[in-house]
Amino acid sequence: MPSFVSRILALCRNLFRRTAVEQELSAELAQAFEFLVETKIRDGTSTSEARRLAAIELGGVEQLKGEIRESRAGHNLEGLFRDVRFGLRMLLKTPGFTVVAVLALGLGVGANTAIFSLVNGVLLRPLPFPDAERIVYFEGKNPGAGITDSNISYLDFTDWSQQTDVFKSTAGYWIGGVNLGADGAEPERVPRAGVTTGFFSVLGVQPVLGRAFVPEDEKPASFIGGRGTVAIISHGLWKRRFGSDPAIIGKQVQMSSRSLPVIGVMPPGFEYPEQTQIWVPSAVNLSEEPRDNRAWSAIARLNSNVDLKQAQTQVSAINAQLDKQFHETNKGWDVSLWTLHERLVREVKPSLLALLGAVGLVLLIACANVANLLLARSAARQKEIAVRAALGASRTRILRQMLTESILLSAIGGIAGLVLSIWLTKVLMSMLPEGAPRLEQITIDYRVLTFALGVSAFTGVLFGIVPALQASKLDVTSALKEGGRGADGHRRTSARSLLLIAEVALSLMLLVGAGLLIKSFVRLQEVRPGFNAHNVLIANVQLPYPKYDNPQFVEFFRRLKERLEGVPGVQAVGGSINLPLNASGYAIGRGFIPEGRPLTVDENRDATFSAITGDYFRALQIPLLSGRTFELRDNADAPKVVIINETIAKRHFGSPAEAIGKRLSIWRDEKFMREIVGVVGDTKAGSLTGDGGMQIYIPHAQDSHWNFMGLVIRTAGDPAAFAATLRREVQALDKDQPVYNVRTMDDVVMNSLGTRRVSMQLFAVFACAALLLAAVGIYGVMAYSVTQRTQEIGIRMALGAQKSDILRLVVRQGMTLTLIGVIAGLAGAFALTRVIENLLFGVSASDPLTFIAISLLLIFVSLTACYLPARRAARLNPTVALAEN
Amino acid sequence: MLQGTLDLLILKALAHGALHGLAIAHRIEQITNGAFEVKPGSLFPALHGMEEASWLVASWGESQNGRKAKFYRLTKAGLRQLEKETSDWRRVSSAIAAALRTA
Repeated sequence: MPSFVSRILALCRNLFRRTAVEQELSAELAQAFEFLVETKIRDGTSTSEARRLAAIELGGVEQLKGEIRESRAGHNLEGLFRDVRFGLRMLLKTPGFTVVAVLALGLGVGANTAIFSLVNGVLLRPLPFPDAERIVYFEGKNPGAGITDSNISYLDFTDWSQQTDVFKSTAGYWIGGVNLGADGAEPERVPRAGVTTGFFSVLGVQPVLGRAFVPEDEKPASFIGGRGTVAIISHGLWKRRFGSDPAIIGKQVQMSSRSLPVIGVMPPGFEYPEQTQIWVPSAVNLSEEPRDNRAWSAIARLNSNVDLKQAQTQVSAINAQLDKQFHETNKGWDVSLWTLHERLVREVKPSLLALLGAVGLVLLIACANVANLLLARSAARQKEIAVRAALGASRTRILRQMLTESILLSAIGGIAGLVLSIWLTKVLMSMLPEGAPRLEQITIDYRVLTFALGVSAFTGVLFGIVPALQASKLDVTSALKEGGRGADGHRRTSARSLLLIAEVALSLMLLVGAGLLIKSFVRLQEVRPGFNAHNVLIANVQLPYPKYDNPQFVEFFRRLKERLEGVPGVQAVGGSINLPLNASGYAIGRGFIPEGRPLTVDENRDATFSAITGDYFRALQIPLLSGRTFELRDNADAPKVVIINETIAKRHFGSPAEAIGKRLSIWRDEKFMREIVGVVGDTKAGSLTGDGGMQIYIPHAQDSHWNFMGLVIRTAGDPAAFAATLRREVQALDKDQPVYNVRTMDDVVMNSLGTRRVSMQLFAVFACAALLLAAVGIYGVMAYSVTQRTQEIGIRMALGAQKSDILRLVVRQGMTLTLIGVIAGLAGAFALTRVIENLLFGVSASDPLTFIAISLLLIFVSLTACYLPARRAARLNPTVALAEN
Repeated sequence: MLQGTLDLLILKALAHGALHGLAIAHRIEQITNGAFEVKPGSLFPALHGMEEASWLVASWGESQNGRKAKFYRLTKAGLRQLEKETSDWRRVSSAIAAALRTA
């Protein structure tokens, strides 16, 4: 039998058949004793003398047993079990302490684990594609014109990817919804992507049924109306709309005005990009594609010997050539390569990391509090520990016992925390704004479990080590003699003071962070979006081509407006292809040229472009500053007109009033001039934090190829109540026509604050928890200190100290520590708030007002926490205080 | 007593048959001509350790005077261990003897 197997068997026997093993040991030693006695009697010694000599020779039986036990397998483990059992008994003996400590740790570990499971799901788990870290995303930008995060031109992309060999495969794609229906089923809008042939091989995912696209499937397609010949559908759509039909391949998927044969079904969960349900092939006619059609997204898979940096270098070099070669279309345009993962999560990454840091600070403060509790408890246990030390327990033995207790505490806290985190994670996810990336990846996996375990063990050691060291350093004699209020009490007090300073400093850092975020949020809410979001319902409608065509698009939306205006409670109805705050999910920019001022390449005259219908400005209450709004007479045959915003009026025409009657042309799209008939106020086009920039509006009737409209309905009451009416009115005009993205404008504004709102709320919650913990901690330290100094205070009072003197004495002690903590915290906060700088808006990371206000708040809280024990000290009866010892 | 010699002596003492605890000590005293006197404080921990390493097996039997006693006996592994420790010991002792000669 190999030695280790026999060891393990021995271990099992020692652990699980303890009684039998012990009985056998006793019997063996008893027999040995008898043997010795008999030997000695045989040698002629008297019976009583023989027993005495035998006992001496054998040594103390209990001691011998101890030595034998130590030679056994599992001796240390057994000690551990004993420590754990003893620790549990001690914890049960002080249920108040145990509950408070477990609660503090459970909350700390739970909150940390919940935030970590977010971080894990969003940032750590790889994308569900093979070798996902090799997939890169191309992002266009034009720093000179202030454009970031732009789509790219397919012609540029072709040059980038074909003039280098760093890419294994490449693909372009565009995203656009499509209406399902016209087959009797409920009309429905689903996300659709047009993709080039390489798309699925770049991502490394193949259909589970049927096949992927081949080059023959591709037909040249325009951006809006992708003319695929076949379709691949998502697993979800296959299940939902086709009842998981195993013979789906070759059947038709009915889209609004035409149908396509299904050639493949993707695996479950594959919905890239952006929850796409239908993929259609979309090639580009390179000879017709304009180089400045920056409407494409692009991804590529790197070759195995290439990293992102090398690829970026190559692409940048090619792009520099393009800048020279196609100066008119490419001047200033650049491209950044991102790993697809990084690109998907980069918006939320800083918030998540800041939150993880914040919740970590809360845990540290909780640890400091529990450490304080343990210190107080170990003071109460001095006698017990002294007795153990006197009976021969070594310092390490006591240290181990104390650490076992604190780790036990943290383990219970950790389990409580893990359970709590499951619930907290759900709460967190319900708080997150819609469209937050990778939410489906948030689950409790091995990483989360490891994290929770690690955090619990870490905290156990962290809050246990100081009290344990203190306890094991005990001076036995003095502790036994007088319950230890001498030098040792002093050392303990200094450890507690340090913990208090740390608590104050940590909570100040957290509070400052929260303060800055709250201030940013208030600033954000003060931002005037340029329109009135209250009581506005918005919705998207896209009419299918060729079922409808240019004049009918205009006609449909005109008739819909008339019908809706007839509904009681509807005050104004309008529509735009381009709603503020990007609410219709569709943004388009156009250059323009004021009459008589030819465009120079370097000048930025890109404006947000909107074709509008109905009473758009009245519905959103965008103020008319000068001139008039569009009327029905501004139709296709009438003189071409345009409305501009205040920014253009001031920048190019002097003032709103001066702009009226002037003319401009919309660059490259229209060869004629439009007369400016009105100037309206600026609105926030993309987000509340950005500026609105230049904006131009033209009547839908004069640019009628837009089949898409973001409808705006101002209502007298709750706008959400009109959603059903809107659907009914649209389907009264066309029963197969879906209405989608139906939301109130208030929700849009709320959601645009998205992650900021959530991180502010969480930061505030964490900061409040920190403040509470710190207050409890300060109170605890001061109350303990008063108890320790009872005798001293009694003497002071006997010698004539007034109540106010005592009050001042105690408060001064607490406030000195608090002030040291505040100063340390301010320094820490100054360094740490840089980290959250890009989460702030309208407030600097070192905003003096916030720093001062938070410091004062903390000092006030600390003063209150010191005052209560101080008052108790001042009320001490000196006779009683002195008699106590 | 040198580290490891106790194990070797116990193995050797048991080479000719099973013995109970103190009889092993007695036997060691005999075969070393009284040079080693093994105290129960070192003997019993060593026996229990060797038993767990499965060099020895213990069983309860009857001693010469008719009492129940725990007898230890060599296992195959114990026999191998004895051979190994014997040759180790020979190598070490001759090496040390050689070293002492040159000095």
